[in-house]
Amino acid sequence: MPSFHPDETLLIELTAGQLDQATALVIAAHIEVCEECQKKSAVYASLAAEFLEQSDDTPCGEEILQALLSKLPEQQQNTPKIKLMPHQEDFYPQTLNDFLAAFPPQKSWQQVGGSLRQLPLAKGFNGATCKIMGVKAGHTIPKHTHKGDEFVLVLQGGLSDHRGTLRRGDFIYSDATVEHTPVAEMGEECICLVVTHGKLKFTGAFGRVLNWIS
Amino acid sequence: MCKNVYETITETPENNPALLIARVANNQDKQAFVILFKSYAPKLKSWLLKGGASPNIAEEIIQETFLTLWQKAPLFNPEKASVATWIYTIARNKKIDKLRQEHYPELIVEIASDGTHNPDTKKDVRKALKVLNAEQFTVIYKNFFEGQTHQEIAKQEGVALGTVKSRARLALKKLHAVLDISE
Ligand SMILES: [Zn+2]
Repeated sequence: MPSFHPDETLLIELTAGQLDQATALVIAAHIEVCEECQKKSAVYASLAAEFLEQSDDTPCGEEILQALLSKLPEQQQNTPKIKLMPHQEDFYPQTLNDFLAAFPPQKSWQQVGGSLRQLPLAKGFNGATCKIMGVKAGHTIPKHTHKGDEFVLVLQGGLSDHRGTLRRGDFIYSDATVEHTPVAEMGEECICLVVTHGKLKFTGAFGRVLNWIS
Repeated sequence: MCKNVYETITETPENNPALLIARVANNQDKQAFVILFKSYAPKLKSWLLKGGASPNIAEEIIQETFLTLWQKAPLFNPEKASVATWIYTIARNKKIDKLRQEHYPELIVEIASDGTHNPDTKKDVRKALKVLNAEQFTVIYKNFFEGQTHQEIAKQEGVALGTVKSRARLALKKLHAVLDISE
């Protein structure tokens, strides 16, 4: 069970459809692996559904129903288990693999310095960007601050900063007030799903070099 | 001129929504599909119009929602969600797809098996909503159903953002207490 969770507001915004697709992806991927957040989201979704059931009726034209009846598609009997497509991984939450299937990445993995690699995914309507990031086992991400909000979901390995150690399923939020120097745990590469609103700003001496390339 | 097909539908075992979905799934039962359409499409339309969709776009979203409902009926699991919740989430994603050209993830719920999603949740949610005062209810309603942000609600209600946030916080606290989920 994860020990770091998105706050309630994010779960509600997901339910209400207010998040951009990049942020929605990382929150939904956390929910998939977190029982606690699943329970909360289920309640939020049933609130929305209750309001829908109590809603007034606005008639739809009969022709809509007739049009539907004339083109009913074949039904889907089960979710097809297909073999992994490029960039999908069996340890990724299904939410992420579904996203990768629907929107294959336009670029390939990019190496950033000696410790980091990243695979850019989608952009959100509000400028948020989403990527999968890998940090080599035991390596450090130079000290940095954030221009805007950053959401991180750990998918493999572990990542520590002054707030604790994040492992698979853990979700953490950093805003402009957070300056940190995350370190990947020993053992295996730490793979995260990262959403940023605004670029990272590296603050250490070595980090300045990274500002140029990231 | 077309006849009005939206006569009132009374709740009987024959039109229990979960059974209707089962009939769609097991027998490709078009009659069950029509009953579902007649119960939910007009509600979805109200919701979509409130959310700023034009009547034409609203009807397109409704069509896509019901095509998906037909297609995925065999995958519907009544132990994981109520029919209304399922329809709401399909329609919400179609709406985002249509209005913003964004791909919203489908929630994959595999873990919870302790009855959180059982049909009683509906009764509990109704009970929980009763404990909210009018101001708290408004914030929750606009936030969840109309999809408005706290800023938008503050502007509409003519109150400070902080006031909306504290109303929302109190409302959620009450809801959590009744529904017995930890914060
Ligand atoms: Zn969680």
